Amino acid sequence: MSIAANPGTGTGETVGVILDGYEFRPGLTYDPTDGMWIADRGAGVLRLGINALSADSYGALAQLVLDPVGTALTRGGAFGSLEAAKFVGPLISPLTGTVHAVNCAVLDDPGLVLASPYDEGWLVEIAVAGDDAERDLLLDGDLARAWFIQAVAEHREKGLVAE
Amino acid sequence: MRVVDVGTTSGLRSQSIWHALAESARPGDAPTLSFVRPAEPYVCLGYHRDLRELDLDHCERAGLPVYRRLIGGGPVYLDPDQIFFQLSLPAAAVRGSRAAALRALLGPAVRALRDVGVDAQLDRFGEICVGEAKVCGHGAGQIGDGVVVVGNLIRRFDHVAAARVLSVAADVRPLLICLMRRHIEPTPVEVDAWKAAMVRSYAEHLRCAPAPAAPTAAEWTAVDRFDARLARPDFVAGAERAPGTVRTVKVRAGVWVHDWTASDGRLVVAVADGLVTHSWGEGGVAGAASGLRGLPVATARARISSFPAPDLARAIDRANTEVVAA
Repeated sequence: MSIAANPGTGTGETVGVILDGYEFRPGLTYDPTDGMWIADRGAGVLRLGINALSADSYGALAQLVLDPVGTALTRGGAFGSLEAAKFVGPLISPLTGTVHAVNCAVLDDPGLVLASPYDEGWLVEIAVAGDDAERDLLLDGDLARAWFIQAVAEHREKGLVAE
Repeated sequence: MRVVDVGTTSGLRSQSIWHALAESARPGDAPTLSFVRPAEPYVCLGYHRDLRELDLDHCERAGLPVYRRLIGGGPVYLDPDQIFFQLSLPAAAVRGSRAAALRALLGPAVRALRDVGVDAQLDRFGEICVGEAKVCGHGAGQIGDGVVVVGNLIRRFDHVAAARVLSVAADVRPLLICLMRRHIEPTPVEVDAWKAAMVRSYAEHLRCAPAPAAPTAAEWTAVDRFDARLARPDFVAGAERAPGTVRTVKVRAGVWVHDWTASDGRLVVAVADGLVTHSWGEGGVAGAASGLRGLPVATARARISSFPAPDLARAIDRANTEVVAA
């Protein structure tokens, strides 16, 4: 799978749609396992953030720590951690690569993750080598939309989404 | 549900044991309810917290070791008058809102306290309380593939010792002790009866039969690993942080003391139940400080925004986030 090119200054896909109460950006790629969105910034650099549903499931963040530039990441490994409501959880990288940039604004104000998950609340950019097998585990287009709708429905059915 | 009662063990091991149980949880595993009591007092710092929140000189003089845990919450003084409980389960079993899941997983602890005669409630902040006083600390987190929710039965609480380990100005400490006495209370119940009620309550909630168990050999190996990690100086020191101008202490959810210090003044503001309960200042803001007392926090915040103390305004906003979220 190729990750949608987004050469703009933000995620590049600024027009979202609201699916059952949660914003979904059709132009992004999604990791269905750990709640990350991925945008292609060009030259082998991808931007990562937490999708709106996952951000809401954490709630207002009290703390956020991100690995520094140059850190080697593996798919499924942590690139930082967050804390909300005294719950500490890892941030899981959807792809293998190296931390290329860190969003300092979100470190200063972790509330941006919930307030602006697809724009100001982005987390890190990573430089990737291009492992097709890893990218095949990600979703975009209609598959991503169908997955997102199902994920919201499952959360609502379990009654665990903060309303 | 496995029930692992470790009994009394060293302070360090009273942390490492449940880190190991949580980390060892695998998808499909039964949950584990565990109990442990520390043999001696110590201080424990939440995963993201700044070591400078502690008065390390005092901790050393008092012979209090300092450890860091992998879950959330602030710096806490722990001692043998507290019995810790933990529920460890596979992370895959905890989906959706973390706050809602945490509330759901603390519910059985509330019911267990009520079963032994304590009029406990889960308040709007998700804290276990009797009236306005918190009676049980808690924290949670994902460790490896496991999620753990921890709490404590506080049979006696040494408010002075708990306030003394924190790094705060000398004139703030008496206020802190006063607020702790009002907002943190012990529940001196009979321990065995409480444990039995906990086992019943969690077994009912999770719909699985309880079975006494001991940690496995693999879990003991993990305990040894966490013994080394949680006390390792660089891990306890944590990430480097720039020093700030505001020292904020959380007494319990909704109860905060903010101490802003800068070259041109100082302002101390205590907030409880949405009101400024105490305030005093030095330097240019001294006159305005007394006028904050008794104000709703939003009104006080608006006034503070006209002071040259943007960091204080931000600290109040951050603290108030949990009030708004609740």
